[in-house]
Amino acid sequence: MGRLILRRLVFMVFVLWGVTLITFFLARVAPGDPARLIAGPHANAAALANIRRIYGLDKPLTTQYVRYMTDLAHGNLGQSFVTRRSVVTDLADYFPGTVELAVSALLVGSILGLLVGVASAMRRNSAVDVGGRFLAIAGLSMPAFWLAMLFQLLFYSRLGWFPFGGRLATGVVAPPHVTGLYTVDSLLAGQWSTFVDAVRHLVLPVATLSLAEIGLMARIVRTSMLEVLGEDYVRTARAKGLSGSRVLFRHSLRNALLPAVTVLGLEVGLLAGGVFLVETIFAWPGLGRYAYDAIRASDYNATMGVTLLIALVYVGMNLLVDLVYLFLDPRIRYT
Amino acid sequence: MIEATLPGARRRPRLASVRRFVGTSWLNLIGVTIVGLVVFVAIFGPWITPKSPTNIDLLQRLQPPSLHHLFGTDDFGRDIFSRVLAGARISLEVAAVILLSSVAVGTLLGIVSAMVGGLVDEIIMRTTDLFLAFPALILAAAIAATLGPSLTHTMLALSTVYWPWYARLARGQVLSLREREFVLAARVSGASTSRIVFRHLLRNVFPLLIIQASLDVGYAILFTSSLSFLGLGAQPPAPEWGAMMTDARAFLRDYWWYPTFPGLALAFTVLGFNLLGDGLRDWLDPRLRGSLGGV
Amino acid sequence: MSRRALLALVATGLLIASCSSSKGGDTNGTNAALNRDPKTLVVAVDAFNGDFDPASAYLLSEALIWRGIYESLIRLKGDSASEVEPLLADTWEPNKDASSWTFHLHPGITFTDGTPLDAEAVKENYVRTIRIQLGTQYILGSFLPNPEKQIVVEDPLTIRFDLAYPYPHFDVVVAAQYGTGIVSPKVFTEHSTGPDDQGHEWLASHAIGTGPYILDSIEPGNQVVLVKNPNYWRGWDGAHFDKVIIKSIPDASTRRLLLESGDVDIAYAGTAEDTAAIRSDGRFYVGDFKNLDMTYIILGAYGPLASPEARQAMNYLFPYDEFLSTVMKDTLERGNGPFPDLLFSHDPNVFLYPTDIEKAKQLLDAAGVQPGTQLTYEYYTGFGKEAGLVMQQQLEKVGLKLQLVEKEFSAMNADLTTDRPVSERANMYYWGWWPDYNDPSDYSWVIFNSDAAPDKCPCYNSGYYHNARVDEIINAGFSETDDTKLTDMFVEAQDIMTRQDPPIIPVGQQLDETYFRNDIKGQVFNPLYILTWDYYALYRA
Repeated sequence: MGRLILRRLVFMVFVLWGVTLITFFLARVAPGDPARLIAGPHANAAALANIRRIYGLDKPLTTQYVRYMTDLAHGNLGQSFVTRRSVVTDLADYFPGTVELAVSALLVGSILGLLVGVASAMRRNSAVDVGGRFLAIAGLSMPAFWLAMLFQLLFYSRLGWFPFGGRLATGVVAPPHVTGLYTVDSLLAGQWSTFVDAVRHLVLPVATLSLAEIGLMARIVRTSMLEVLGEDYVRTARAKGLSGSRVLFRHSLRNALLPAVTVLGLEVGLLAGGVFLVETIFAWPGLGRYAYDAIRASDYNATMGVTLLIALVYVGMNLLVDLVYLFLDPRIRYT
Repeated sequence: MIEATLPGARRRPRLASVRRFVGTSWLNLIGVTIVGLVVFVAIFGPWITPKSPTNIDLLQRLQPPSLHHLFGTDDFGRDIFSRVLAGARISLEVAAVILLSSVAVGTLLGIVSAMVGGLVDEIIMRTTDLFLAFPALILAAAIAATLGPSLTHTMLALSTVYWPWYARLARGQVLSLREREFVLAARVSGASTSRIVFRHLLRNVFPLLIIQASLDVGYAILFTSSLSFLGLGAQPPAPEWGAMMTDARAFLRDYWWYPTFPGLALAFTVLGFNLLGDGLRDWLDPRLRGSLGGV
Repeated sequence: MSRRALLALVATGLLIASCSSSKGGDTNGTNAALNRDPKTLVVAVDAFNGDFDPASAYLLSEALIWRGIYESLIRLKGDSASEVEPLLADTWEPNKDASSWTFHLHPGITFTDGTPLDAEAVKENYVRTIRIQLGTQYILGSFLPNPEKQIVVEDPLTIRFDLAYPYPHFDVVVAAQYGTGIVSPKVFTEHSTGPDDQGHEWLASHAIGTGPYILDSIEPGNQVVLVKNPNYWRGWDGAHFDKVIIKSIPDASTRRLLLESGDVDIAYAGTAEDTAAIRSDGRFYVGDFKNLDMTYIILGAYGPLASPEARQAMNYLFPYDEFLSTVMKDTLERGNGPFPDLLFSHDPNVFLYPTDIEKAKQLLDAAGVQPGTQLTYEYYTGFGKEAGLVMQQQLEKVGLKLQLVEKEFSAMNADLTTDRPVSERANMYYWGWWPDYNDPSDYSWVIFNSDAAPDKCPCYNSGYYHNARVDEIINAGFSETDDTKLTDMFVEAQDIMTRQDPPIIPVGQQLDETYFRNDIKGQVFNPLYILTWDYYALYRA
């Protein structure tokens, strides 16, 4: 098991190295002059030459890459040309917002998805099943940006049920920084009203994001439940006259959950894409919006930094999922 | 990941089986109907659109739906109904190009990987790992932004993101087929490797990948529109659904028809393809992998 | 799930139902709800940038923050583009031929870091701004090419500017919004990374001024918080805001929703439809103030539009009246030539192009532009797509193609000021400009002078326009002290730039359509302090 983890870690490092290679390549072939972006639109030729020298942009690409990697090894991702701050600072600022959003969506999506999936499988081909499957697929098919616009209009503008834009109402001071998650920090600080405000701000983006998560989870749970329900031991349990709920919980659900765990990895990927769209629309100060701004503005360092971080989380999550899977079902050995 | 090992590709769908498929579930029927409708509109769109999808008429701006303009008009007085219909063709074309090119590249590299093995296999497979380590939408956005926003670049970006899935699938297929009788027989009878690849493997692998791709059409359409919505895809005046919704965003507040209809068209199209795909997967081969939506 | 997804479906239905029924919201009340601190002003803009270095900050998106932080010696009075009033300086006087100007500082002012504001501090600032050449050096630098010598500290509260040539309107130059702000001079040494920097890097995210507000926090892409400077030299008697929050909300419809629900007090204008709706909503007021902001399409004097005839043809193609009345709903007024009509020396009889497709065709033939030629049109997100689509259709009528390219603001800004080979340039750019102070040379140099083309300086003559006579007039205009002569010269220049050799399509003159809540008082629009606010003057009634 130790060897396995080691292998996966080595693989993870390899993948992240590849990510730097790809993003670096993308950033450098892009049209546009990084020196100009750093210097601002009004710098003169001398200032530009100076910046090229300072940032090593006059050196060959390989040298620049080595330099980037050396900096990276020291935890330095360079400076964002747009925010004019260190990318690490920016990422640290925006990471918690995204974590809060994504974890909430993951929780809501997984729980509801599980329920729908189980209900579908238990009543196979009934109206519940057809309805559940339809909603699962519909959830996966909804364009997140369209849904976000509809929610914005309906629940914020028309009905006024939920706030919109940002993580807290204007003027509400963020709770003292512990985790960076406003819901958690406000509870830790005992600021009940701030907590309520933070939760209310989460409702619409989480609702938008979790629909697809629900769909994905429900589908996988349904399929694996059906498989498990067809297995001998479940049939035996039923034949022995065990009650339906007992069969469900003791025998089927536990085994059906295994594939559901693997889906978590996929869910994170799905979330990364969703967060990208949803944060942009909900003016949510998180990594998705930061990535969008950076990509649109050809802010190379920021783009590379944020992509690297997202890939790191993604690969890390998948590693974690593999390990959990291994733990849950020791029969499996990765080759 | 779960790789397909059953030769589902060898089943030839016949009319009778189509009827059986549709009869299996209401969802299949809905899926087939929506897809049929969208494909019909995409093919015959130019003949059935009542007005030009790009013609500007500033005196007819932001008209609500009426008999004259079924879905109303946009901020340039263009007929939204005509634009929505024209959008079907764009979406299907783009999805087809993305998926076919990913399948072509994926099949090629997958077969090479499996047949050559060794270092080549290792390099190709580690490359797919690498691409799959990115959340797809973000990688595609970065590529599209680097190349400059256009529909062509969106197609290129999404193909870059998708091919590894097909390469893995193709490789898995080849590895399992390689040991089967007909390949072994061909080998024993002295057929060359290239002959084996073209006569036997390609014929068996490619159709499966095409089926897999057809299950992914919905997501390809959704991703394309997402990129367009972010301003990284279709450029004006193209009536692409995602791009239309970007434009509509500024008019969300008072002109509900503007964002609603392109959004509905997109949602229903994706839903149709996904229902169909899901049904097909269940019906043909429950062990085909999960689709690209999870990327 | 089922309930949630059902909700989504219901939402679609409700949306259709609710949207068709109500429109415009509650117009009876005088104010939208306010569930937050009334002493905090919240403004929503499309974007802000952190640059607090007066030597480089030249964008509206920067100025809208530091207008609350930095002050100049004097400022424009009320809504005037030519009258000035005291600020850091109590009094000032020119010598006889207006070649030397003396300013007397208000005593006892300190920067928020405790450094006293004295004549030496002012000199240090302006010498740096002119010498370090980060973008705004021309504003004062045109008069003070040798600032170390020409700026004279007479005593701690008296400073004298010996101009390179007499200039009777130097007071409005000192009152310009850009390039005149005064930062604590300590910054230039304490936070400097070298002679090219002198604190520039640090000033990207920090600011120390004498103004009424202090930069509290800046979260790029999200919000800026300014809090009041408790020791502000003009004091805090009367009604003021304690805190100012500036939010970046790129999406116009979102800004309007936030305004309507009471989350913000002031919002940048959205679409013309939004403006019309807000105007008729009793809870808000709209600026409708005409200023010196020109909106135009830059025509690249290279490639297919190299010849003046081709650029004339573009001017004939644009459907001015139709575009302004329908798409812009008169939030933009027809541009009267290349100069905004409040600009000094503007010619009211300047030639106005009618929309004339036939004439355009002839001119294009004469210019040898082949049918089927593809042109590109660049604009930034949220500004210029409409005109581009309209132009696309007009060009189609004469057999040309127009490809629209949307960029993010900073990317387009870089495109405009970067020298590129012809093949990498767009043929048209949708852009806007206003003068730093009411002077035709100041306005024209950066956008029309051949020395301001991207191959010469990172300026905004992005069409590489080169007309020898126009260059000559602009350059001479800087030192021309006779107003009549100056006007005559520029009437000629305006004629050249319309009838003969047009560098741009003057689309229109922008009105300030910023939306305000009714309870926000104290707003005075100034034609040159465009789209920024004097936060100290604003209050909630």
